[in-house]
Amino acid sequence: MKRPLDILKRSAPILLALGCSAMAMAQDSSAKKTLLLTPIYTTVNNQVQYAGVRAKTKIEKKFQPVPQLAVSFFLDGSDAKNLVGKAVTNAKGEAMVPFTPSMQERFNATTAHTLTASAEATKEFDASSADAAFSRSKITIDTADGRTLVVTITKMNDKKDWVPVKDVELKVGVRRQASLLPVSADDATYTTDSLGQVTAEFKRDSLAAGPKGQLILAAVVEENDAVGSLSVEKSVPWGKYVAPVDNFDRRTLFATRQKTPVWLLFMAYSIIIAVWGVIIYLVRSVFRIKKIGMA
Amino acid sequence: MKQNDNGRREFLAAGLTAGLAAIGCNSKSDVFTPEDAAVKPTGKMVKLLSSDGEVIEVDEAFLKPVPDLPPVPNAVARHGIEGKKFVMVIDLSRCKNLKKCQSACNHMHHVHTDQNWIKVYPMQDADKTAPYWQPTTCMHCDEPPCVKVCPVDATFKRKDGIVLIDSDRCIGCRFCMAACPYSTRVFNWEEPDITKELAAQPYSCESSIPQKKGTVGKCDFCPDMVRQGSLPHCVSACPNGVFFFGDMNEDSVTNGADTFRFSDLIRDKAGYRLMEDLGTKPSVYYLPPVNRNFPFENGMEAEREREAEKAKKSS
Amino acid sequence: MIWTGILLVLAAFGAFAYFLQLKDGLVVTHMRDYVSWGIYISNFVFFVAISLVGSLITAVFRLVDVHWSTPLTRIAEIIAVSAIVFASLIIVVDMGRPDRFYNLFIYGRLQSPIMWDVIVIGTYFFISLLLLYFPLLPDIKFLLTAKDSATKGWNKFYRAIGGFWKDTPEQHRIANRGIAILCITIIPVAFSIHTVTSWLFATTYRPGWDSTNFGAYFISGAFLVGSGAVLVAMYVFRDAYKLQRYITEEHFDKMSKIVVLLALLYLYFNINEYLVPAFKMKKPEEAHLLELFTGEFAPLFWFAIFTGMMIPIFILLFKKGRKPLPAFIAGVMVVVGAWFKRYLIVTPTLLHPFLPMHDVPKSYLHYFPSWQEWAIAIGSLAGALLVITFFARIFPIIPIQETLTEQHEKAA
Repeated sequence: MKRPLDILKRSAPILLALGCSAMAMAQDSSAKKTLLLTPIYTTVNNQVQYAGVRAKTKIEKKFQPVPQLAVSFFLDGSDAKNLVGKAVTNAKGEAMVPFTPSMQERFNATTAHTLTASAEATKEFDASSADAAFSRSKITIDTADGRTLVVTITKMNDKKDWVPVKDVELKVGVRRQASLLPVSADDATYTTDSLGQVTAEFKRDSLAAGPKGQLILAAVVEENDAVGSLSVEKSVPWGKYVAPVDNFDRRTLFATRQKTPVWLLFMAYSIIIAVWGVIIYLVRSVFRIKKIGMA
Repeated sequence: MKQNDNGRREFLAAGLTAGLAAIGCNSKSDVFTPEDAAVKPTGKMVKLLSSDGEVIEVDEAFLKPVPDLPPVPNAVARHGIEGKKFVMVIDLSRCKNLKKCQSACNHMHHVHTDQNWIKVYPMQDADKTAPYWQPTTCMHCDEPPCVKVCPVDATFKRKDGIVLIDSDRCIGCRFCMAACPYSTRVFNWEEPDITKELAAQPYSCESSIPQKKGTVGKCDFCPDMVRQGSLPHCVSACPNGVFFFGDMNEDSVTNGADTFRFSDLIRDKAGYRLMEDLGTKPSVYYLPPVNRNFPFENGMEAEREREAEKAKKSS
Repeated sequence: MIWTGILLVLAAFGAFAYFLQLKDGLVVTHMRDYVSWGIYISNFVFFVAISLVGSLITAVFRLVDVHWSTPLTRIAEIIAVSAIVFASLIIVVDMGRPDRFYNLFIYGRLQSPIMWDVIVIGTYFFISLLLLYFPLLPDIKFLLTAKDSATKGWNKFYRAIGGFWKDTPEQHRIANRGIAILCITIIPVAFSIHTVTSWLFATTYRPGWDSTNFGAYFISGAFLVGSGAVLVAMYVFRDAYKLQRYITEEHFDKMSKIVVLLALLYLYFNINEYLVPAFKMKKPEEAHLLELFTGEFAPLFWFAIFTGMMIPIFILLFKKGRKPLPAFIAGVMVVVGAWFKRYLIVTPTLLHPFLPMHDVPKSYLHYFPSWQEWAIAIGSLAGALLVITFFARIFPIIPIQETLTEQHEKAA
């Protein structure tokens, strides 16, 4: 549930940006473009946490990512002592730094925090910064019963107890190349209930898996206002192994030169040896003729 | 410290999750094992703050949110990514000839002006059948006629099914272009119009950059993106989710937003391949253009608008 | 002299055009992504075709004990060697990266038809050279002992390559044995080079190329154009060197009959090649065939058929047509028709890919060679003629020793 203060905090940069862009549009084109920073708090596997940012700017009515932008991250404040780290955005306008141990005291002091991402003024953009509030949170997958998973999301309250977080949208699936294959083919969406839990049925029959039939289940929360980005993985033996067909090491017509088919090698070399043998014999004949003539 | 062990083990999995860790170039482990043993620990430990407020130590090797992976050496590029078999599914019922795929591909690979590695064809199989737009990439055939005829191994098929071109070795004979029935290869007839800095970079087979005069170029399934755990540029660029990309060994394809089980998708939507009877065994499947809710002519309109824009820009 | 001068100018202009091509890339041609093979490749096929004449006249006739062709063997061999050299040169011209030519040798893939072509062409070059050399050996002594020869300046060269020929029976024995072996060996090699060259096309899926007929079709075409070239060369050399005593009207008569036979054979293969797919009109082939028969390429197609085959057959069927001058004209028609036929084999197919030609600039949809391409192609032809002229200047165009031996045997 978005808290009003949060909304204000999050929309403040947007309002600011809108205001700036309104002013910018009134100015000539050499004015600086407005920069929109979205801080993202990520926890991976309930262990490592990252402070991240997505930098965007509006070009011709469309948002484009801003690469090569230097961004600084702060925890609960904007002074140098609150610095988490610095990074430069990549081609997609994203950057991430892990939380360093120097933040430990500050981090353990409270359970609710504010992550600030700020960029200094550059040739293209004015200085800007944005805040995001987050609490320490946890996500777990439980696969006790047959093919059912229960995903639980909790966060730490002021009394340092783990309390469930409800109404968090998450995705549950099998880890695949650059994606998550949903655990069932129906378009089920998963939102945590009042117990902070989501139950999902694994309905994929004989899904292609590793040699021991193992699949990696993953539950992912993407940029939730309360808990940031969370992800967790768990290996389960619910799949079926199918040995892949591989032509790479076979001798074929489309293989590399090292893997020429044997019949082709045989034919080619026997022809070459036969004909060039004749040629060499003939060249030697010429020399024999020469020898006779020189004698 | 127990927490340390869990931390490392799960962090390895986390590396795969977040797509951050540099996935080992010589990876020989299969894709289903959470422990990516190929990422070699460097021994240098980094202290991090865990979400429990504890200080944990993680090997630096597992903590590399590199924006771009350095290009892999030629031998690795020729071998491919172990355990994978890449496949693409193109949903013809969604294509509206926006050509965002084409412009993203041309842009990211610095393709020469007016040449395209992805072509979007207006197709009509017979007089009375429905016309449709067909985006065509390289098919990365399992029996590639282009690879069969190359005299110098400049184009080759990798273990993961991708067919690449080594522009440092190509002699420009264009036999592969004659052999390809899908007309997917283009030739650099002149010096490609790229910056001097880009042209001076060493060539990487996986990014196919920089292109060189007198050599052949084509769609490469973006192995550099795939190695990082991302998707090829056309897949990400299409606003209608036309392109699905994935690994056949995982039986899963995704267009960025939706992920489907590959075998289900092909079976349910009657997927097919182009020119199946030629025996090239392409790796690109097409889903027939059924239940379209937009007329084919809109795509022609889009084409005309683009032409008009181009004419305006060049004048 | 004028002849050599013109050829030199043409060859030099071709070389200049090639320099431009090296500088700017193949963009100076009008080949583009669809028609990616143009007149360089059709010239290459043409040269390989002509080079088969050496094996036909020299080897085949020798093996079947035909003697009237003996005076023609030198001409045939010189044309063969010159043609195969220029075939290799024009192929290097067609490469996008000739600086990487050595890649063919250090990275060569034996699975590729181009590798097979490289191997057989290299082999055929050496065999043709040897087949030129062995019968030349006895003639060298004539060159060395000629009193008022125009080739006196070459004596040092002649001594180096044949001064050791002393006319001993033993030398004759080795030389004749060598020639016999060469004649046997050259036939399969000659068949190979043009078959493998045809496989550059037949191993693809394209309409017009995807034919099982191609090996035999190309070889029959090669023999035809080779013998046509010999008819032309016979007439020119006979006139230029006043060889009426050695190249008689009888030679023209017999050679013309051979040309008629080969033209009929080639016509037969053409009918198979075009009529059979036309009967079926499979979808990819339909547009291609219609374009050849009645479309954009129809004038060129029918020109090549009539000029290259039908009219020469008609001329040479009659005794009057087999006289030197008409035979020469027929020979020229055969060669010219053959050149355009090779062009029709390479380019029209490329304009009918399986998928529509789309998302390309308009210039990609047609092909007409640029002036640089014409310059280089004509330059290569001029170069080949130059080499032939050069060889004819330094070596006797009629094999002296052999002709003498023939005439003695006939008299006896």
